[in-house]
This record gives sequence, structure tokens and C-alpha cells, in this order.
Amino acid sequence: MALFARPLLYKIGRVSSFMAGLACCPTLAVAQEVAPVTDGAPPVPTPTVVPPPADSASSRALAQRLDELDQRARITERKLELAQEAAAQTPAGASVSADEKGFGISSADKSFELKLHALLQADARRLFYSDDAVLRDKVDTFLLRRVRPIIDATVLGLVDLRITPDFGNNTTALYDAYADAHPTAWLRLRAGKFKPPVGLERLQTDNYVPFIERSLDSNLSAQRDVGLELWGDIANAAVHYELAVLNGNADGTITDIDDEHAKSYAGRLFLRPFQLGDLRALGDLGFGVAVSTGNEKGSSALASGLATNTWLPTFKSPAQNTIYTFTASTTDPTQTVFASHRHTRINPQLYYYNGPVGLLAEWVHEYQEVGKGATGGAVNNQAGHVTLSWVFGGDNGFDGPRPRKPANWAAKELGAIELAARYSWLDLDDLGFTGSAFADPSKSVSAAEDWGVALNWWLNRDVKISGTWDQTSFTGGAGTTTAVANRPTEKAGFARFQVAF
Amino acid sequence: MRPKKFRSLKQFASSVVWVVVSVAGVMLAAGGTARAQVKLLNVSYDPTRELYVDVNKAFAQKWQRQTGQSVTINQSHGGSGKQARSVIDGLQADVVTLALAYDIDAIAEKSGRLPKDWQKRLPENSTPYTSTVVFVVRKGNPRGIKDWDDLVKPGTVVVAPNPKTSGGARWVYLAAWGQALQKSGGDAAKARDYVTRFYKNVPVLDSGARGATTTFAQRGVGQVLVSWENEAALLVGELGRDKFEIVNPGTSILAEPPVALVDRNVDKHGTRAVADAYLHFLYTPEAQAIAARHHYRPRDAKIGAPFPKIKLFTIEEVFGGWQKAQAAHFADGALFDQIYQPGT
Repeated sequence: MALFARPLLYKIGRVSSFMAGLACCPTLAVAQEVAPVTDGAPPVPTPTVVPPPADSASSRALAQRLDELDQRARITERKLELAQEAAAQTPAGASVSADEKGFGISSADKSFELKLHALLQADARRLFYSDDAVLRDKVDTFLLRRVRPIIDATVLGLVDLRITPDFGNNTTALYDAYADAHPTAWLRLRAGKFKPPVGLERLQTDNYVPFIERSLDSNLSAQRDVGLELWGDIANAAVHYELAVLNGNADGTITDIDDEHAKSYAGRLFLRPFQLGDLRALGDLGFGVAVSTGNEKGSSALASGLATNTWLPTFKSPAQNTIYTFTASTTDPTQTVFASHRHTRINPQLYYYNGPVGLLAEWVHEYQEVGKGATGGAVNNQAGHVTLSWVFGGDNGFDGPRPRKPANWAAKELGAIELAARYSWLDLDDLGFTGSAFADPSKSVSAAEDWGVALNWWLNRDVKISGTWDQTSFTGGAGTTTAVANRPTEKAGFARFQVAF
Repeated sequence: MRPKKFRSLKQFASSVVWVVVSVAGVMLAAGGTARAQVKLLNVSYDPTRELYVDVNKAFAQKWQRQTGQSVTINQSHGGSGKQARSVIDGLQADVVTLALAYDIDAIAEKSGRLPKDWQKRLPENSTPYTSTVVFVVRKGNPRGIKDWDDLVKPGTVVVAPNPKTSGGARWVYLAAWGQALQKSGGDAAKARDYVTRFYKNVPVLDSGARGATTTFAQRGVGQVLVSWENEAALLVGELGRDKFEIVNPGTSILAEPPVALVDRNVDKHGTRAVADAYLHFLYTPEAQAIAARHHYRPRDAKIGAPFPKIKLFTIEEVFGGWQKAQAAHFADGALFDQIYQPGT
């Protein structure tokens, strides 16, 4: 055991030479003793002065002088050694970094930091059914699904900033733009535009979702909302909470501005009990509930032949075809359905990751009050999904697979392979099709079920090549109002090349 | 195939509550099984490595016998002040066993991770063992060093660590000041003069006690090392009595390294009970004997360890406590900054 470890930069040559010279002196001998060294380092001389003959005063003076010189040499060496050690430990000034998490510059104490990230998803998509040529041709395309430069910054070590525009899908949109003040881990304040609490798969970062498109239940949550959110992690992130006041966006939308005074409230409580103590060995289990509720008032007023903002969504299939729209008229506002008052979502959610295995499941129940002319009503919609995934050559997690070794052809390393299977469903309220007729049953489905499999090749944490197959069957959505038929089953094969850092 | 649809929000919400309660119950049951193992982190200062290896082993065996729970105690060592800073910055210490009460005070004040009256929670002001400051000289004591006055003679090269960075070094500084003050009948000017001459003979200021030992023993610098009693004994025992000797001064300081529970961290980790038992274990005859074996002076007089008799004064008696000593001597611009003029 090395109780007294040797610093790395020790240089003894000068002193050793000096001592060797002393040993040659005929009237004076300075013997060197070798201190035992316990760490395998070369022996180090320590001085023991052998007294000169008592009758030689000049020899005594010379010995004392040599002893002093020896000490001076040793002190100088040690000071140099300590200075070099101190220099090695002193934090440098601003540093530049480039790694799998992006490119950045930061101050020495990390209080100020700027990081540049990017997400590119280049897709090839094809629908494999032939009885709807219009839809088939619409989907059969190469597509830049997401093109996002992402800017992260930290100011004073207290406030984080994120800005995420998107140039994919042939549009330009702002997805994230928020500041996060984090005086402590358990109390943080987020202000701006961000993902609202409802939707566990929605909260998973885009590049880590095993499938190329999210599941059917993502239709029942807003993509982004604007407002304020208190959030934090308690007890080593075993308890996570979010409390938000938001504009209250319609499902699937990213609108930046509210057009009425009422606001929505949202919250999420998510427990990860295995974060405590040694329970981590059991994996990462998370479960909880997200809720949102508020008044959302749309309008059926016409502007240029279109309703200005009904504050109601359209729902899409995994192949991104529109499968449900509320009734709207381009000529008669009384025939256009709009959001009217209460809109509530409850979203129990669960995930579990342990080694290569992953499970993510959630269910969303949505209550939406709507109006049409002088009449009103409410629809209860439900959706959910279960995704199972298995990573070969890496570890699974909510924040994506982590290949044990990145792909390296020379070393015959392939990275990691992720296999996933998913079942998701969407069940829309029949009330929408009867009575006040909030939707046309020959154009909008009343239910959808999707089975999908995914194969993802993670070359490393940043690069993924994906292939997914989704088969979605529908109830309603075709035929005529009086003779409703089922919309043709979608068989969608998508491929993706993704770079994200 | 599609799951059954709930007819209302109320029906759905009640089902959610039922599922959450069920899952939580399963988790609690699983958690009970996993609690059979627990980990602690003891953040300590430099020279206690060897002491706590033995203490931890003894405590783990005792805890296993008493509770059936397996406990692993991880150790972190470094300069006392630096370790305190790490805990303030978030190092997840369950317990701290540092060189100075001042350093634990700093954790309490700056992070709020433990109450400010932490020192009242355990016996002996939360100091289960003590030490003092002694000298180590090379075999034969060529300079004839016997007491403090010999350290300020011209030409004597003294090795001691830096009081600005090392807890042990502050004990050295206060020992030097306190003995000079007592010898002069309380004349602060004479004490200052003595300490000024003392540090004039210290050409190298290492950042910690272990570094000073390296400077003296392995780099061959100086004729005398002023250090913790336990560190001196370890040095002589490790590197040989044929190379070094311990010289006990007539007067020195009673160094009282304190220990404390870091409340906020143990509550976060769920380790309060085992961490508290760990600190109380330090006062048991078994742990006191281990401390004595490692040349720390046990509080338990029944241990009967053979420590040399040195007239010891406490920091309370001479300096009025750590806060006053820190402000007067070690704060930026205080006495040490005023007097330190490296020689040689």
C-alpha cells in the first residue's frame, strides 16, 4: 500500500549528481540512504550527514555549507514539483468541447456555456395499399421529417436557455424556446414554449422514440404550449413534478399565442422508486399521471371562407394521413364545430427499463366540450399504446439506447441493434357522429388500431438507421354518410437516416 | 382487440387511481427486498484513510449482525477544506469526518445540509478521538531539536503544510502560536514574532499534511516535520524507526477532528439510521481501540493506549473557538497572510 505516494513530476537527477560528487570528496563523505518506497517507484535518496573529523574546523564548515546547498537544491526541486502539480490542477480558461453531445464552449467553472446540437431525420416513406391512389401517392415520398438546429446555453450557472426551430416537413416553425431557472434541483421555473406535461411518449426526445412516428395516442396531446411551469426532481429524482399554466393548445398543435383570456392548467407527478439507494439495481421504473384542464374557446367565425380558429384538432394515422376532422363549413359558420369551454386530459403513464429491455405504456382519456351553432356537447376520446423494445449490444433507457461500443469496422464493432414492437389504439366518441354531428362518419374514423415493428441500427449515440412497419386498421372513415364503410387498412413502410447530437 | 372504452372521465379517473395504488404496492414490496443492502459515503480528510478502512470493516460486521443488513461504506479523502467545499457543491456524503469543526460549520452555513448546532448532537462535541501536533526528525536528530524554540533557530529548515489549504496545517499554526503565547504569559506580540520566525524557516508550503510528509520523508527536504501525531507515527512505522524519530514538544494543542451526519443527504438516501449508528459506533470501545491502534487518542480512558504525556491546550482556551481563530488568523488578509514570508 502506498501511503506516501510519489508525485509524478519528481526530478531527482540534479540532487543525485550533487550527492554523488560529495561521495568522492576525500575529506568529507555525505552518505545517501535510500528510503523504502512502497509504490514501486525508484528509490529516492534521503540525506544523512556523516560528521567530518572533529579536528577539522574547515571541514565542518564545508560540510555545513554543502548541507545547506543540498537543502536548497531539494527545496527548489520540490517547489518546482508543487508548482507543476498546482498548474495541472488549476482550471483552464474558457474551454471548447466537441463530443457526442454536441459542440460547445464554456467558462472554466461551467457557469457560462453555449452548446450547439442538431437533429436531422431524412426519411423514405411508402404506403402499401392500392385502393386509394391519392393517399398512396401522397405518402410515397422522400421527406425531411425534422431539420432542427438546437441551441442550448447556460448563464451564470443558474439559467438554461433552449431554442429549437424546425425546417423539416417543408415548413418553418419554432418548437422550443424557453428559459429554465434552476436555483435547486427540486425547484425550477420554466418560461416560454415547451412540451406540456401530458403524453409520456411525447416527452421522450424525438431522436429516441423507437418508431419513426409516434403512436396514435399522441393525437390527444398538444405538441407544444406556451406558459410558465414549476418543476423539479426530489429525492434523487425518485419524485418528479410539473405544474404549469399554459395557453391551452389544441391536440397536436404548437400555436404560440392564445386568442382568449382563459388559461389551462397542467400537472404531472412521476415516480421512479428505484432511484433510491441500492434499488437502482432493479432497473429504472417510472409511473405516474399527467393531467391538464382548462377553458378553451374556439370560434367558428369565417375569414376568407375559413373558420378563424376552431381550437380543435385533426387526428392523424401513424402514416401521417388525416383520419379525423371536426365538421367545418366554408360558407355557414353555424355548421362549423368549435371548442367550447372545458377541455380535460388524464394520462396515466408507465415505463420500465432494465439492461436491454424497455417497456413504455400510456393511456390518454380526453374530455372535450364543443359547440356547433347554438348546440353544444362533449366528446370523450381515448387512446393508448404499449411499446416493447430490446437492445442488442447496448443498454436501453428512456433517453435512448446506449451502444456499449460504437460501430467501428476495423474492430468489427457494429454498434447496437434495437428491436421494438408496438400496439396503439385510438377510440373516438360516437357522440361525434350522432345528434349534432360534430364529424362526418364517412370522412372521419371512429376508431383505429395500429400494430408496428421497428428495427433500429444505432451506429453510435448520434447516428441511427431505422426501418418501421405499421399496419393500421380503421372503423368508419369511408363510404357515404348513410352507408359508412371502413377506411382501407394502412400498411406503411418507413425508413430513416438520423443524425442527432 | 381494442381495450374497453370508459364511458366517462370519472370512471376512467377511478380506474387510474386503482392501477396506481396497485403498482405502488408492488413497488413497495420490491423495495423491501432491496433494502437488504445499503451504502454510505464517508467524506473525510487526508490522513484518516487507514483508520476508516478498519473502522468501516468493524462497523459493517456489527451492523450485519444486529440488523441483517449489508452495509458498504465508501471513503473519500482529501484536504479538509476542499472536502467541505465538495459537500457544499453537492458531493453526496452521508457523514463527514473532517479535520476542523470550522469546515463542518461551513457546510452547515453555506449549504444548509445539516443544522448549525450539529456539534451538540454527539458526545465530546462530536469529536470521538483526538490528536495533537508533534515533530518528526531524521534519525539521530542531527539538529538536536527538542522543543518549539529549536524550530526558529537560523538555518533550521522546517516542513509544514499550508494553513490556507490544510486543516492539519491550521492545527500546526495554532499549536505554534498557542505555546508561544503561553510561554510569554499571554503576550500576543511575542507569539506573533515566534510564528513569523517559524514560518520563515518553512520554505515549502504543501497543500496538505500528506504532501508535507512526502516533502520531508521522500524528497529529503528539511530537518524537521511538524505534523499530526497520528501522521508522524504512521510515517515512522511505515518508513522505519531507523530513519526517523518522533520528538514530542513540551506543550502542544489538543486537535479535535469532528464528525457529523449530513442530514439532507441521509434523508435523500434513506440512510439516516445506519449513518447515525455508524457515528455512534465511533464512540464504542471497539472503535476507540481501532483509533488508538492508528495513533489517534481515544476519548475512552479505559482503552489505555500508550500516548506520550504532552501538556495540551484547547482551541477554546487559547483562541476562543474555531470561528474566532479563523477570522483572526486564516481569513484573507488576516495574521497568517501578514506574517508569512517564505525563507531559504
